[in-house]
Amino acid sequence: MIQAENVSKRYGRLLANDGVNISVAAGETAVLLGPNGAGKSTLIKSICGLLRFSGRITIGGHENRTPEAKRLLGYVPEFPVLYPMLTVAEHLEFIARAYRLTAWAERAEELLHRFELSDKKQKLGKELSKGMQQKVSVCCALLPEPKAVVFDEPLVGLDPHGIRELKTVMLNLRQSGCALLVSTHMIESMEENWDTTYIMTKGRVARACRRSDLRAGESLEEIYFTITEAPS
Amino acid sequence: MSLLYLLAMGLKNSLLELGRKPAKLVMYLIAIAFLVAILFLSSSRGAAPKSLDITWLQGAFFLLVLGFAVFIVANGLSRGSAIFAMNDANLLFVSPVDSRPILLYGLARMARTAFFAGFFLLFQAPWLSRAFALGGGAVFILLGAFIIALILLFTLSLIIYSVTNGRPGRRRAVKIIGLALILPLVLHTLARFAGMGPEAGNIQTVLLEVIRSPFCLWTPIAGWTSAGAVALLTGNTGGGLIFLGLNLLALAAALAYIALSHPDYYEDVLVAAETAFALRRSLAEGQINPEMTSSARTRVAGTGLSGAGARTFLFKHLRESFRANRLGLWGLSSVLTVAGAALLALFLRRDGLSLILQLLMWMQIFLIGTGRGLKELYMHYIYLIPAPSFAKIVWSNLETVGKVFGESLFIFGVVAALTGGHPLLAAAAVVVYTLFSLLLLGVNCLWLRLVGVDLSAGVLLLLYVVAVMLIMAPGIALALFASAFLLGDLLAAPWDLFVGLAVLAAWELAAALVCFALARGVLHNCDMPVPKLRES
Repeated sequence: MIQAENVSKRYGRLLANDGVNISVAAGETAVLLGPNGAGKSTLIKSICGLLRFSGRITIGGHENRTPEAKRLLGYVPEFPVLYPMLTVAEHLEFIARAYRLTAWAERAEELLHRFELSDKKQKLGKELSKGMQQKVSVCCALLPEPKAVVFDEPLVGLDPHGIRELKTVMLNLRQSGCALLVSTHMIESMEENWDTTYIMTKGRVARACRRSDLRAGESLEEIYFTITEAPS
Repeated sequence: MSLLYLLAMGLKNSLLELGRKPAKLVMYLIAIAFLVAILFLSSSRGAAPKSLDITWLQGAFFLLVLGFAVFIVANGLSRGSAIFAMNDANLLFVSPVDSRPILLYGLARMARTAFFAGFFLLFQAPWLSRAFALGGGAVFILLGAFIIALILLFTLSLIIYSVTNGRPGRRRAVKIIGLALILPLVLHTLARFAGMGPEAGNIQTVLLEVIRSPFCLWTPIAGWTSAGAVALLTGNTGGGLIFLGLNLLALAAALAYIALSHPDYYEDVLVAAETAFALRRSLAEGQINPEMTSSARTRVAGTGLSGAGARTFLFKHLRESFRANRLGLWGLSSVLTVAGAALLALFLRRDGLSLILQLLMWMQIFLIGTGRGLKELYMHYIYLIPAPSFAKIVWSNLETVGKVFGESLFIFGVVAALTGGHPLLAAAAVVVYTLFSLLLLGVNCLWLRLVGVDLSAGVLLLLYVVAVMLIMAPGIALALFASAFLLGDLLAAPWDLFVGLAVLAAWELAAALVCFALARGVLHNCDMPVPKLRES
């Protein structure tokens, strides 16, 4: 569903992504791990069409800049960016109208209820705490029922209830055949719920690891430290 | 010693950073070269014939300082002054250093802020030379007086916050005192205008008398600063030192009050430091809307949006604007622009319309990027929504064009009424001004498409201005040619100007359409810009 082939991105003299290849199939959760500055957010922004890059990225077989690809993709950014003068309900209405969704109101209600936002519908974006903003951001990404969702540090800023709900939502999405790409520093939060892990260092994928590749008793955390603390 | 070290290291690192950022270095060098050139030219030109009474300069300087005073005192009432940055608060306030020297360190930071706030005064030398026959040194006197006034205002803001924080009664008292200080001047001005005769030119005479009156001269801070600076400029050193000395005395008294009675001011400056820090962090996280960190209460009356696909952007922007401001697309800047244009029209009379149009078009080059449409580029939604890139750009910028159109109706309507201009000329000015905003939006999109970055970097902004001038140059040349040569003999004034404006409007529309056409697919070919943070 999400396919990145030989993706490179340069900021001036800094090569942030260097020939990265990743793929996430439908019904699969891929985790993107790496130390600060490894190039995870750059890769995610390239996949979502927010950055220019060299290489090829497709969503469901469509080039990622096309409206067809955008219709299939949901994005939860690292920092929730809401419109300060729109209410929570209007954020969802904005997405519904811009995506030309039909019969979206019930799904919006369901998402708001799930993330305990039902009583905050008339609150403005600027009146919400960071955690609430993150929840609205997730609702906006999921409202169009995307077939692939990219999460950039989705659990940061959420309260325990929000974390539990989001993990459940991610599990449900995966079970319903959605492709998930999750960038995170919180390795333990993804231990139970991943299929493939890409560990990035210095702009490259240092190791792509499938759950079936793990030896008995071996954890994702151990693999991560083995790769990232290895002498270069 | 440690505080001196902090200041020195801050300065040293700023200089070293210039070595690492050549674009910034080039921008500074261009600014310095430009400044030296205009100061040199202003000084070497010799004494120009004086065309305006220097009292006008005093009045303009008074209004400038008064504007800053209102803003800073209002900040004092709500959250104090951002004298310290968050790193100062985290590191210095917990250190075993006496709070008094830390306050002096804060003052040194304030002086730097005041210098940058008044930096634009240095570029006024040519205008001051032409209008008031003042030498290049005049701007330094104005800047010095301005810096002293600002440091005093920042210090007063700190005191006001510490005295009124959590005490509504005292806040009301400060507001009443503030109004009482300016009330005599307001009443005097109203009384003078009420007694004014109907003859032309009376408005200017009355304004001059008001500025020269003791009510203006003795208005604290704004009156002292403007009167002191102008006294020094006119060779009245004694008068200048007395008025500016009053500011220095007030500053000394304010500092003595803090040092003697309120050395534990940390809590009072913390709110402002935290607010400024939250704003910076919000910017770093991509939230460019200042409304996000505004503490002003917003009433949510009507809700809901309209439109579908890319059109939704326009209706969303309208909803946001009307919620942020009861006047909708009109804001304080609109009111100030109309008021400023009306004031200029009073002085310029017959040539007013075309001169004001030129001035506003210049201002528009720098202000066009403040609309919601261009801010949208800093958020991810516009890139992800499955609609054609061109449609998204156009619909998200239409609100700005509507705003400019609405403002220009008032501006040129008022200017035409005051200058006795023909209504058709005013209508042509409205069209030229509105289409210029469309052209600027087109240039912005094309710029983003070709260069791939936003315009926040100084050198790029300079290049952008040059690009706009180059695009406009053929249109202006055509307009001048049509009005002066082709039709000048056939048509009498003001119809020659009308033809020129019509040609210019046609050029703007054509150039804007070309820019938009060339910028197609802009959202697919640029990096989502990241807001640039200013140094704290």
